[in-house]
Amino acid sequence: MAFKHVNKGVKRVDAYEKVTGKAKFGADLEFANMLYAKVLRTEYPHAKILKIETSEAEKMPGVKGVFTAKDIPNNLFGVIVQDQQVLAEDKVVLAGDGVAMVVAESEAEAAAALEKIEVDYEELEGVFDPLEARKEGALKLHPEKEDNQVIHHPLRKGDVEKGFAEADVVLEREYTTQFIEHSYLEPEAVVVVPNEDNHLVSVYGSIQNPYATRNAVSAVLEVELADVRVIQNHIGGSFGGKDEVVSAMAARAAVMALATGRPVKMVNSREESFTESYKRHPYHLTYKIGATKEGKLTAMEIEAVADSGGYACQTPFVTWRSVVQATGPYEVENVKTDTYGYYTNNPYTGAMRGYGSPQVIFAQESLMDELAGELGLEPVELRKRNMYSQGSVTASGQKLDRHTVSLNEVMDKAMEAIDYKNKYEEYSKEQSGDKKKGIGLSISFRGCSLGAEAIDAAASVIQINKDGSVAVYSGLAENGQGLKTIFSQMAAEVLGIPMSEVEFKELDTSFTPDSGSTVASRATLIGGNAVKDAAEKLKQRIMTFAQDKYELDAEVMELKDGFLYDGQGNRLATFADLTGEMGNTGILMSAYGWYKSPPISWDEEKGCGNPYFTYVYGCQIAEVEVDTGTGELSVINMAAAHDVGRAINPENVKGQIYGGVMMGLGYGIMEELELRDGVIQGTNFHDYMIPTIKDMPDIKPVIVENPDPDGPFGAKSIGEPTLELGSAAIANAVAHASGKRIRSLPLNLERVLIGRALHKGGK
Amino acid sequence: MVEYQLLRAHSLDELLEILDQRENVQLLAGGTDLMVDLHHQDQKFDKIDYLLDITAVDELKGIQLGDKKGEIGALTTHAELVSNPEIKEKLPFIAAAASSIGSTQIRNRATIGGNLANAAACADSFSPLIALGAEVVLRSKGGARRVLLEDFVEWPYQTIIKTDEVLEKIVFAMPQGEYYSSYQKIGRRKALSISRISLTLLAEVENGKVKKAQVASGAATPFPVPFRKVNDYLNGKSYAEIDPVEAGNIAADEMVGITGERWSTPYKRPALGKLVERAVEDLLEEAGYNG
Amino acid sequence: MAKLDVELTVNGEKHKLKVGSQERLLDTIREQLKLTGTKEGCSVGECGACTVIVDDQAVNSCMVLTAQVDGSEIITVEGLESKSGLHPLQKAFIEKQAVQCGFCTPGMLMSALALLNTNPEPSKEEIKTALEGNLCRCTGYQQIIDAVEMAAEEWGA
Repeated sequence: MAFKHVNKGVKRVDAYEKVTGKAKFGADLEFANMLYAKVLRTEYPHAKILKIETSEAEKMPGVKGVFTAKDIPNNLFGVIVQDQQVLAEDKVVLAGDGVAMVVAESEAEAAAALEKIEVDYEELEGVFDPLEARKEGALKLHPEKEDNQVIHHPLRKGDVEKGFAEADVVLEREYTTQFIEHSYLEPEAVVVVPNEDNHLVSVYGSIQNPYATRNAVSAVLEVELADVRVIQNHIGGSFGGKDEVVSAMAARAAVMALATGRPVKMVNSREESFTESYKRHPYHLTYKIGATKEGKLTAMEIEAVADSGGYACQTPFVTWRSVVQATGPYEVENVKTDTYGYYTNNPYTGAMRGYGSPQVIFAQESLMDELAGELGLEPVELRKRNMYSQGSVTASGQKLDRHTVSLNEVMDKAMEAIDYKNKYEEYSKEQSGDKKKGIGLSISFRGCSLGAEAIDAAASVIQINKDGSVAVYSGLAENGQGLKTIFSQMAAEVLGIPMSEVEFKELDTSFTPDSGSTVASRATLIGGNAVKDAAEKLKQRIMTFAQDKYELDAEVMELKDGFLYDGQGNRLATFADLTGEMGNTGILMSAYGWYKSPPISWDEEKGCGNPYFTYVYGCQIAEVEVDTGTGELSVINMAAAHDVGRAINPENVKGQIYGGVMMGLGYGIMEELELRDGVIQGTNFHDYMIPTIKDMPDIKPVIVENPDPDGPFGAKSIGEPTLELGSAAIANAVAHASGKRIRSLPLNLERVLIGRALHKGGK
Repeated sequence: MVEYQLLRAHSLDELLEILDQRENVQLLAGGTDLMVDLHHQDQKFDKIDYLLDITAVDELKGIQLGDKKGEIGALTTHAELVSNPEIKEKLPFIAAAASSIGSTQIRNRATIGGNLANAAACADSFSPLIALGAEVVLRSKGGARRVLLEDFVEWPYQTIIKTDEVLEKIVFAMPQGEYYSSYQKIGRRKALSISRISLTLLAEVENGKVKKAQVASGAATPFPVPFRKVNDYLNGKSYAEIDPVEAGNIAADEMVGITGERWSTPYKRPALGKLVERAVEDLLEEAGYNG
Repeated sequence: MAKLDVELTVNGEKHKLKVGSQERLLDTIREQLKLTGTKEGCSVGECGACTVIVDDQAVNSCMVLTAQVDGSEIITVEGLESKSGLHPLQKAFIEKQAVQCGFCTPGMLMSALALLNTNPEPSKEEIKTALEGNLCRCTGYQQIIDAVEMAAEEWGA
């Protein structure tokens, strides 16, 4: 299929302002008469608030107001469960809960006033381990609830007892994963302007999901949604992280903006960002797997326990994706999976790229290699004997037949890209010296978009101006991932105009329709379809008009390169002239696009149904060198093959692959948020390490395209699949190299050298 | 809230005069340690009335390497140490340590004097200089004194510098005759990484024997020290008599002897041993020993 | 506290400024000169988002008190584009898709510029060393390296 713009490495439309420094991010914004806000956060993970004394703070120079929970109209909000406090009222439930806030003429004055606020706490016992939180008689952290359980998702298929009985080999293993900090380069920032343009409050800033933030602010202020306007700026990365935490900041700033009548800016330092932003869920996983000696899986019994921290946040949905995908992409007749989330007094946990998949993939792909070893099969062989193929049925009972199941293809292509077979053979032999090489792989399937979490629909608006220039609006937000460019490409493709004629407009909730959140790798798939829908509606109108005007069949005419062609190579009109004329005859030159996902189904009790309407498949392979003398780990090469349906912008897709692989590498070998009794040890980047340019392996990205029947131009998802696979591939490679199997992330110096982690204080 | 008066010295005399006349003066050079403390509004600023920027004091800059003696000005940046051709040729272990610190941006500002005066347990500048048997020259208005670098640190972040003194330069005897060196570092990632363990080995050799060996730790002990037992083990031995594994074990034991069993010992013991083993192997290989 | 007088040349323009004793070069650039292209990512010299060039050297501007660099020549990202258009580095970053969220981009450009100004034909290792203090969470670095290589070629030509 020959495309003009789609499937091409078109330059990003928003690159110019970023390379010149002209792009304004939240902290760069300035408004007349602006005030600065700071939040006082507790250092106690669990405590009663007895008294907050703010009188001294109120007298400090430059201070325009000191606020506590009593000043918040409605203090509880949340996307799924409304249990998150804007400011702590009677109790703090995690170290980092905000208890008071100050707004002043300068940031320094606000910070100085914070020091004068006195809070009397009664420290309470805390719970810091979800395995403790779930026990009978454990301290109840949310007294209005029965216990500390946030959620439980069961999945049942067949009869696991029977399945294990049929097995020749049964393995039981435990795996653990760690708290992860999103580490977007831009710390969170909001500016709330009161009474601007007929809105009660306008919210600017680093906001991943403008509609979720609008919901939160209106709920907190107890005003109508229409009173709250959210305008999204350039965001310096989010990866799922700038949702509830930014909504809380926006709500706080809104309260203060209304109280003072002036714009209020709230920018987090990196330490504040570490302290108060939510993390990726650490998981404790137990797997029991049974297989025949021929390597056919007969049963899997899985339990995954997630730490929800002080608030529920996204735990119910994160653990739901886990329950759907926990078996990995393998045909198993008998499955019993239970995923749980529990409240603790740790930092709260929420959406982070992957959303419940990286944890289970680490466990289950490590396990497959362990099982292969037990059976005397090679890792590739065991997988090939069990992995999904066209028409396979998943653990939830869904038949995979609407799209191409390309696990074999991604696996073969990844293996070829990195010369897997030869290296596997080579590194399986005895290696001399301390430095040993290994190669390991992991495969995954991933349900695209929201599945059963929520209504999955998106909208777009396209306006053709009288001069033929085109404005595109989407309800989904550019987070840095390239959405603006992709949607512009799609609009340009359908309308047959050059990219230079398309302008993607900033998201403003006052007129772009609510399209849900920009999450779940759904933007291209759902949002793209909405853009395509709007463009096609307009194209239809144009062709109908042209048919009348030129008395030619719409089928033979073509919109291309900014012209209307007659089907014989002659130009009939320019796009601008044609559309201008249409406008002048009173035809509406704007259109709404709308796309709602195909139906899905989920039985919450039995854990079965068709949870996602389509899936993507990926394979990543890591080649590592393990220094068995020092525990140092070098990831030398990585191959990453991903079926994206269609790459709307292949260069962009490669960028997602490189970025996701590096994030997965960080997850696998170096990132870990250390907590001691609920308090983060080390709230900046010297303690929390993310990969630098020198940690980069040689990455071979492989784009596989099997157009999806539902995707725009066949495209589906790439954002999250690229991160979820790396840690398992690396763990398998490390086991191959060193003979040692490590079942906890990250694979840091200590775990690699002595097999366990070490902690200050001797635990 | 932190408050201090910012002063700037343009000459060594001016610097020393200020140190003599005023109290509670904190020197500011590259700033890569102190600015972090300032950002955190660290308590240490309660005792600081003046911040004295010394980056313009030219007398504290410069590298001079003679045949017998060498000196490095305290304000020499790590970037300057990395790119200086004489350092690269004659004292490559100093360049190696410097290049492993921080990042390009940090090395452009951070000074060797600042690294020593801050005396963090993991400071990378110590081990190469201790291996050289270097002394620091501490100058005040009243004069100067020399202190052996291995005696310079009392405890992490605490040196024996007096309040009216500035660390002026580091002086040392140049290694003589045939000599080899090795710098080893373990970090948690490949850049911008504080050393988990680091060390330097410097050995003067003659006629196939180690004449004078100096192995010094960084980030293995509370403050950097020479591994005297390892030195004793290596000194006087011919290449054939040296067992790198044993040298490693001696070093590991010596380290634990100094630190005691700590939470990190189960990792550091084998890892340090391995680094020393490799440093000794490097020495033998460079010396051309093929045993 | 009394303010100190300093003189800075920023992107070729001379400025006479009054700075506080705790005012960092980053603050002066963003708040007094309103050049918001330089970003604050961590405030402790660990991420490089605040990188600018001072007297030909790439430095973390969050680690420098402005008073320390009185009399210096500073280049920020805003100094790259000229009347004749975008700098080869900027063009290369766009061409090679080296920009995603864009927050690390100004810092990356500055580190790359400092490199190419002194070493117009850098090896891949040298590029990595020059950029090792600039963290990026989006791109995975590869396309940034490609961009610097492309700029070096174009510049050298």
